[in-house]
Amino acid sequence: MDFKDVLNEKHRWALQHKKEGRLVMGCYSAMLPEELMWSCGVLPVQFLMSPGPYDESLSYLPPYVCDCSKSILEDYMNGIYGYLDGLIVSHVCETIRGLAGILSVRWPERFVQVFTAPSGKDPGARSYLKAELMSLAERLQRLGAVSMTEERLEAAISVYNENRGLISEVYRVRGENPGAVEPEQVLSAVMSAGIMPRPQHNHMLREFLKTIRKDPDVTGTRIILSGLLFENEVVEGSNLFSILRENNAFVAWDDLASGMRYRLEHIECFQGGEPLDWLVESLMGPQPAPLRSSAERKAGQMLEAARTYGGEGVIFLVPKYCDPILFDIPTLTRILKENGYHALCLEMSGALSEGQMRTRVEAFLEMISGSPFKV
Amino acid sequence: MNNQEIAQVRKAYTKSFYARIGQAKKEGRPVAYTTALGPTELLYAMGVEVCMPENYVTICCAKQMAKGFCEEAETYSISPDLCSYARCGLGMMYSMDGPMGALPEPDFIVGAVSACDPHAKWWELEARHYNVPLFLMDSSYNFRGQVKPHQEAWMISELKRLADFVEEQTGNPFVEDDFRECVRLSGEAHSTFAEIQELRKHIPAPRGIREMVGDLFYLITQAGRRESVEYYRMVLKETRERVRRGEGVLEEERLRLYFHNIPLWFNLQIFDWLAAQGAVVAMDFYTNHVWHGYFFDGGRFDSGDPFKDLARKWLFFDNHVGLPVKLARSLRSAREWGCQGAIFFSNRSCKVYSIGQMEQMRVLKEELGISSFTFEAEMADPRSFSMDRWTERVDLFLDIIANAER
Repeated sequence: MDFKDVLNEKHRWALQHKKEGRLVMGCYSAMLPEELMWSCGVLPVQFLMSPGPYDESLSYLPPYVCDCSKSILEDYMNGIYGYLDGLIVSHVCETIRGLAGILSVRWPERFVQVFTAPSGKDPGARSYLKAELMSLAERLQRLGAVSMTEERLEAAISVYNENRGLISEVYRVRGENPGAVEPEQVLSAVMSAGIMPRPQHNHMLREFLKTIRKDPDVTGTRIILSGLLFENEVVEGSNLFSILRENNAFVAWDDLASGMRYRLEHIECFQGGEPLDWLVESLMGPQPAPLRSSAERKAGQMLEAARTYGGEGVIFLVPKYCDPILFDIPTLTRILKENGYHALCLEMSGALSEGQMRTRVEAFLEMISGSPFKV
Repeated sequence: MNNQEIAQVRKAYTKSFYARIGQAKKEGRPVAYTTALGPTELLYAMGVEVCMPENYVTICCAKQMAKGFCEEAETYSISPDLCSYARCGLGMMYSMDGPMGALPEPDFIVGAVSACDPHAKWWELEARHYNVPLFLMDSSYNFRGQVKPHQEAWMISELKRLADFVEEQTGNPFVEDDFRECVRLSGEAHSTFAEIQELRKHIPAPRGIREMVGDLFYLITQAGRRESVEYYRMVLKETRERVRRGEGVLEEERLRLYFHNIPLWFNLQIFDWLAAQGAVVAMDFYTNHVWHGYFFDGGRFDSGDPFKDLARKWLFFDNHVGLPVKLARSLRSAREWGCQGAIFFSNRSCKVYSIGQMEQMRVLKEELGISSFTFEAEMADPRSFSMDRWTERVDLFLDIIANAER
């Protein structure tokens, strides 16, 4: 079984976990205490996005919200997530908070929590977050989860840290030799992390890493992707990837919400603290989600990746009506340009259609690969 | 004093408020841009002049200047899908212009990541443009209207963090007595405002939405100042008189409506049109649930701790409460103010108020038998709205509810 198979059977792991009498919690965004849930025997399952149309959701959501929220509601309405014991969403945008409200009213019997991971790192935020995590553990226990203990939480952190290390290694190897692994494989690997138990995912990642060739042997234009790409684009093979391949372009790094934007910094197990303190520290401060991080910080990460892995341009995949990303785009493109990198913004609503995208991506690739001023 | 005369008092004060900001800048006193959520009480207590570009946008809309500024922002790659307050505000910033001239430059900016996406990211763009420090308030989400002690404690800590930041930026020390007095004045303004809202229950309604959205200026920009208390006392006195005389905003009140979302600032004439049909907006979401939510839910500034009072006010802004609270508030407003129909403005510029409207329409129908009408537009971009199409459709809706009443 490879990662695409995991995505093709995306509910299999959750259903298996449920069958074993344990809780399954729907999650949105990586800025959630997944380690805590896992330590309580709860499987956190990140919502993956289904392709449209989203007809049912339009009875409850206005048309001017992103496809992510429409997709989650559509799948809820169609009973696809009937196995969930509840959901926990992180405050990464106002739409997801609003969606949590609708779900709580439509399905009042299910557990719903909007989780806020503070953007600041100060004592007040720290105390709040620790109390919030303890309260979450108690609520999960009342739902039937096992109690959180220091030992279990430490073990969960260790499993998740190993996972972060392995995913980072995939990105490093791919960055050094982008032709050695297809972008769909990398994204499938990251997306799979959100829907299956991490110990199994770690095993699969270790095997996957063995299959990636380490020796650099291809040349071509190196691209960085940012924004959001739906799971079906990855599983079924997005037109974007075929266009890149046809034009001898490779994805060297990505900052996709479904990719590298996953919380990859290790949880530091510092001296003098308990595992809960370690988790608290990791969830505070600037975050991968654009709402809770400045555009400069994000631009800095892209520039660093571009310099490390030879990225030559950035393609932004911007979901329509995603306000936090839309607000950042003018600043990001300006900073990239000031540093000699071109950027292309593709607005997405539903699947990426080939026609116009081909023209724009090909023109973009021609521009960056042909520039005499290339950095 | 009638409603028109009260409006003249408010207009004159609004002009003097903006002049005060300009004067502060000239004199070298600190000027802060903030979101419309403030917290003004803390800033006024620390000698900071508060400037709210959002409020300036509403003036811009009233003067029919918003379209040009929205277009200006779009030339700077600001997406037309983003909040029209932000687009218009950024357009004014980029073009260094506005309805009474360009706003004075800020010394620092206070945004709110907890409130909505633009309230974090718009201010980031402004801070970058003016090259000034940005402070972002954060808070937990009050999903079901039950604030836990640790959530309240974090909010208090955020307010104290802001006080430290202001001290650092201005050199003005935080003086607890000054802060306590500003919060007391804010509490008094809110309590008086709540009494005015109560009087709207009378038939005929002594004040409608046009008057109330004007009144709100003091609650938003002047909370913590004596002027807000004086203004609301005057309005309360006059409104009581109107009730005693049996005077309503309409000569003949045929229908009472509930209005949900921000008003169309460039076209408040929609309320005049409704009035001409004998329909009064007897209660509305915007003046009662957004800034005033804590007081609407029965809260008062009576904890003895000004930080705690202000934290509670903040956590009950409509931006910070979940749909279960929003449902209860809409139900109560429509029921207690005797509304027979509801108008839900589906605002492309404000997802935080618009997501969940369909659930609110459903409960109004199921629990109170109230029918709703909905339309889509943006509160600060006139390109989004057609008055002709709107009146055609609302006319039909009013007929339906009038017939149902018979």
